[in-house]
Amino acid sequence: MLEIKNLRVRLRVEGEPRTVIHDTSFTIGAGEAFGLIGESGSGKSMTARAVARLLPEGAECTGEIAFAGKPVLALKPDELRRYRVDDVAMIFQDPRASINPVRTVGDFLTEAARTNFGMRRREAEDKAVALLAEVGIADGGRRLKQHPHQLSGGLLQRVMIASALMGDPKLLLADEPTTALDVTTQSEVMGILNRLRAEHGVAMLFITHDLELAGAVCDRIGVMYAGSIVETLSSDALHEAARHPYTQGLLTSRPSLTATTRRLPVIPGKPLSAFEAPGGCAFAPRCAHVIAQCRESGPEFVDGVRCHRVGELS
Amino acid sequence: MTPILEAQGLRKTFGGNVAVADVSFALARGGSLGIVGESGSGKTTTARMLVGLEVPTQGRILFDGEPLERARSTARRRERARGIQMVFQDPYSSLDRRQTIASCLDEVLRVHFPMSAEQRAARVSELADLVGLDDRMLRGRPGALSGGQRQRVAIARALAAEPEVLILDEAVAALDVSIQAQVLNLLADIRERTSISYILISHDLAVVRQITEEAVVMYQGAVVESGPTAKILDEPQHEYTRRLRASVPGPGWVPGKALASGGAA
Ligand SMILES: Nc1ncnc2c1ncn2[C@@H]1O[C@H](COP(=O)(O)OP(=O)(O)OP(=O)(O)O)[C@@H](O)[C@H]1O
Ligand SMILES: Nc1ncnc2c1ncn2[C@@H]1O[C@H](COP(=O)(O)OP(=O)(O)OP(=O)(O)O)[C@@H](O)[C@H]1O
Ligand SMILES: [Mg+2]
Ligand SMILES: [Mg+2]
Repeated sequence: MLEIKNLRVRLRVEGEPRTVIHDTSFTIGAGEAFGLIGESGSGKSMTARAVARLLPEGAECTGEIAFAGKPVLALKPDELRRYRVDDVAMIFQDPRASINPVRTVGDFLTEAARTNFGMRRREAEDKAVALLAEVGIADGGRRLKQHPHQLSGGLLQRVMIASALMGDPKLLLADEPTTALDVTTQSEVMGILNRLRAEHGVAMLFITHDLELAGAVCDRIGVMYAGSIVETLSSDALHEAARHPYTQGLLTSRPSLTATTRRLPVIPGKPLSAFEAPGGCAFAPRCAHVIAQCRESGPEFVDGVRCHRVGELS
Repeated sequence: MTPILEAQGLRKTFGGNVAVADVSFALARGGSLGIVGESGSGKTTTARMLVGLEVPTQGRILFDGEPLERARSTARRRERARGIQMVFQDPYSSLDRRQTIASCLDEVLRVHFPMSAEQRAARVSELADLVGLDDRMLRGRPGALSGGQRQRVAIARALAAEPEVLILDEAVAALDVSIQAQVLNLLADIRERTSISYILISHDLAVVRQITEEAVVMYQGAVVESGPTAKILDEPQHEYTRRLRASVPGPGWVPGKALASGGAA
């Protein structure tokens, strides 16, 4: 369904180009969920935006993105419009920053259906209310008349999810769709997304910081660091078979639900964006297993992992 | 000892709708209190009342034993404003998009402390360093930051005021686990060094366990359970708390199983 090959994205910041994604490749099949986890600033949101062709102005994007065989980067304006209407929907990470504050929730939810599918207002509103009920918002009729500032973080996030489902997309780009939800509601929402995948073959790119959630929901997981995927693995293997030192570091940094420690183990140092990464392996400055070779040459992505020392370490 | 912050019977309605029905709790000086609960149950509204951004429909708030609204002199009010800081759930909307990160932090220092420009600049880099932001980000504007980077700016800004009470509303949710661990350790360090108190609003029960001793569980606008955090998580009493505990993803987790009922208000 979705095939990404050697994706590279450069943004312009105050005139200078800045690489934020650097050689990323993965595929997602129909009905499959691919999880993207990784460091803050590593390029997860930009990857999703590249797929939706929603990068900030002035961005340069190279490599290949194919949706059902169609080259997404080469779509002409009217094809791109159809692609966004019929094929792909995105749930944004920060709902409050991506919704127009002066319009009502109802206008936001029904506008696309009315203009793109010629739905009547009543019909679109009924559909919106039904979708809101599915994501656990029982009083949808009242919510449609409200403005975004009158909704809590989690309510607004569910409005965004409902909006993404209004157009029956084939590919869902979900950027941290449940961070503002309590775990009970999260479980409900994930149940709905799973059903869409099973019953309608919807493919999903699922960005999250919650490793347990990624493991439970996704078929495969890609771990991003400084603009590239450093490891892909099947969800079942996340805990037992993580091979990259960064993935292993993530797994041990997580606080536990059943115990506390005085200090959580951390990966020392700061996360880097792609353009800040040194030559050689981008993770080298923070890696406990670094050797000279790591600083000299960037490892290739071989057999699911990008690490010089993977043979010795795992 | 007098609690540093106390909520007594707080209630807030918007139009005819009840957002917060009845919330009471006490935060010990140097203590850390978790607020967990259903989405839409009134957690953010409660926090906004604590920092004075919403006026309670009923109930009162005591800061160091004194009702908030009784701070008469400007100096005293300003002291209050500095004393309780909040990191908002939506960092983007709370940051000025035209201001660089450095000047945003600098402004807080200028308002609250008699420091020279050099002293402030030094403190700005120190704060940035604490939350893992670098010089490039300091010179940039919020628009060019990722979600987690913005969240760290918001945390640094709140810490800049050296508050007595820091309210964190889903403030670590957007952080990846390794940065999250650093920030949680940082919060623990600051608490060891000073008498700061925290209120942590979070959907992440493991995070709540790690940095709070006491917790309250909110459901449909009211506190339904409160007590030591470990006890609430290990032996949940209220039916909602049990459902919450059972919904945490982990081995054997099946999404959609623990069905929630509709939102509050
Ligand atoms: N509009 C923009 N202009 C310039 N740079 C940007 C812009 N948006 C993001 N960036 C930079 O691009 C890099 C990748 O950002 P991205 O939002 O993809 O990160 P992310 O992996 O989603 O992180 P997070 O987990 O914090 O959301 C970051 O270094 C960020 O500072
Ligand atoms: N300014 C407002 N006007 C009208 N209703 C509001 C306003 N602010 C909040 N509400 C309503 O009050 C209720 C509680 O909202 P609040 O933001 O406190 O919830 P929350 O517990 O923080 O939820 P979440 O976990 O989703 O962030 C919600 O039903 C919300 O829609
Ligand atoms: Mg992001
Ligand atoms: Mg909230």
